Amino acid sequence: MTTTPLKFVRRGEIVTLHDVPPTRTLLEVLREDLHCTGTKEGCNEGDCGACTVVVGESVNGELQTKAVNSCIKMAHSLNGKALWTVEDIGADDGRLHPAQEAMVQCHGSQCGFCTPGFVMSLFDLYRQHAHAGAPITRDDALHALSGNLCRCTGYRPILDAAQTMLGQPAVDLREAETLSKLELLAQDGRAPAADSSYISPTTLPTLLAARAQHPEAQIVAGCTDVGLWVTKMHKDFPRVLDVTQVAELRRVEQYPHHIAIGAAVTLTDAFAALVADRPQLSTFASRFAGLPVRNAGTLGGNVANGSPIGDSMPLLIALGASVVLMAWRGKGNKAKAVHRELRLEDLYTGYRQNVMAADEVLAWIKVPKAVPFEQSRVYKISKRFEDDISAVCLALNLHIEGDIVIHASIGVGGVAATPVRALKTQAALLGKPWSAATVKATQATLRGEFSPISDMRASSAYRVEVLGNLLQRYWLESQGLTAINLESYVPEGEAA
Amino acid sequence: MSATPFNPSLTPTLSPEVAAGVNQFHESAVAQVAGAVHYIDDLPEVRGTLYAAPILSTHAHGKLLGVDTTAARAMP
Repeated sequence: MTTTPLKFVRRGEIVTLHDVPPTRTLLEVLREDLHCTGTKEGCNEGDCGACTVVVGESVNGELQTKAVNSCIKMAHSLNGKALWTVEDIGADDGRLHPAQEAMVQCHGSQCGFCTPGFVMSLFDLYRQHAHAGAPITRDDALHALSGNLCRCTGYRPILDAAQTMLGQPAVDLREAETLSKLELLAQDGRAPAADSSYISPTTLPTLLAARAQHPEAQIVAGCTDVGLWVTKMHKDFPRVLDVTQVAELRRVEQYPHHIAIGAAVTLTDAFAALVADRPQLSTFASRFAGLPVRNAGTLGGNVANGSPIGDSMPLLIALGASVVLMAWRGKGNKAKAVHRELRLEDLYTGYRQNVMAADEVLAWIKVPKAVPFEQSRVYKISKRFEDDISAVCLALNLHIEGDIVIHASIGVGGVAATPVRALKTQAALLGKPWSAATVKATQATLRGEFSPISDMRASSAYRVEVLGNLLQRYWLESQGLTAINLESYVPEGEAA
Repeated sequence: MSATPFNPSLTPTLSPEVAAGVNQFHESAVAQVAGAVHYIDDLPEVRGTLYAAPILSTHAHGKLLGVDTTAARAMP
């Protein structure tokens, strides 16, 4: 097995690193190999954001950037991309970047440990808004900082910094040089050794062939879960197969009746497509983890992992989504890509177990588009509003015509070993009049359908109780009481 | 990395008339926002650094008769 050199652009220059193991994280490379300790290790699992860095790539000749967690990002995933850390954004003459200067001016740091991460989230927010010439609202700031935790300064001064930084003097970041170096890297041999310990195919056939050749390789996408197997469970994978550079799988395709989302599409982009079709999913989308996790993690990864508390599956089950599994099969000239499609809930066989064969790759997720009479809602119960994992997630998709439930599709998370469909509850609703009496009777059915466990997130009894309460909320919302949702609450003195 | 300059004439007396209402920036703020503050974990590790972990007694009160280090020494 060979190690492919890792090349990326930093401070307008190409950095080349040799012999980087496949599971070495970007944070380890920064802190231990490059001795750049400005980027901090807090939780080492993508929750706290102290390790936030900004990664850029050239898309149609334009530099596109996003904030990600370096602690759970495999260093090799940076190959061919550009990187900015908190140490890279000041001017050559020592002047601070507007994001940094605003943090000083607004008293946005105290112990300072989380500060580099906040600065980098602000840096990307600044960049996006400065390019678009758009002001930064409090909501924009909350959204951009959803993956950063602070435990001593408090968020008010940091939010002040976010909203005032556009007024600070700009700093030149040599973006043109960075773009030209990225072009150089793109031409610099796009065919890594087939025996590499970190394989990152760029086309679907080469991905499937690599999977057939290396069924033992650990598949990764954004690494927002597999990264924790490395940092927390100390697992080591001799070979890693990265799907995120496969051009075909980086696409969201629109069809008359469904949306097809490639397995390499980030959660940010996947939710943008889902919210465009169903605007009521907007709040749920912004509550899925935090921005850096959504920027790195993929919808395909969330689905393939099959965690019972993964947030996308209850929603996708309720919407009637299916998955397309692909493999490269046959001998010699007759080898070709084959596929099969199954309902999402049929993918899972047990706790993090699924029906995929050793040579199969989850390639696409197909989500039916919204239809008339549809009332779809998804509710997440967690201790923090964002940047948290669900205790319970309930997604309901009822079609109600003339006060009769003509279609009932319900997905639930946090109540069983896998994400599940609430078959009994669906049956209890189908064909019934949509009324308070029906809802009351069905609450009992829903509460009795599952036997959830008690764990650190919630007790079994709480999960059972809250399931029924969420059905009640859905009923009230269907009667026009939208103000009962937390996102509708505006604290006194913060009226828009 | 130097801290943000502040007006030294304000500090000796700390009279409320001049100190109140005047922004005093955190003395480490400039270094903190640039990732230039060194925390313990940021210090370079000396080659050959040894690691130690305390093992606590399972008895609240007793006499230490000996320490068997065989298992520890057998570790790589």
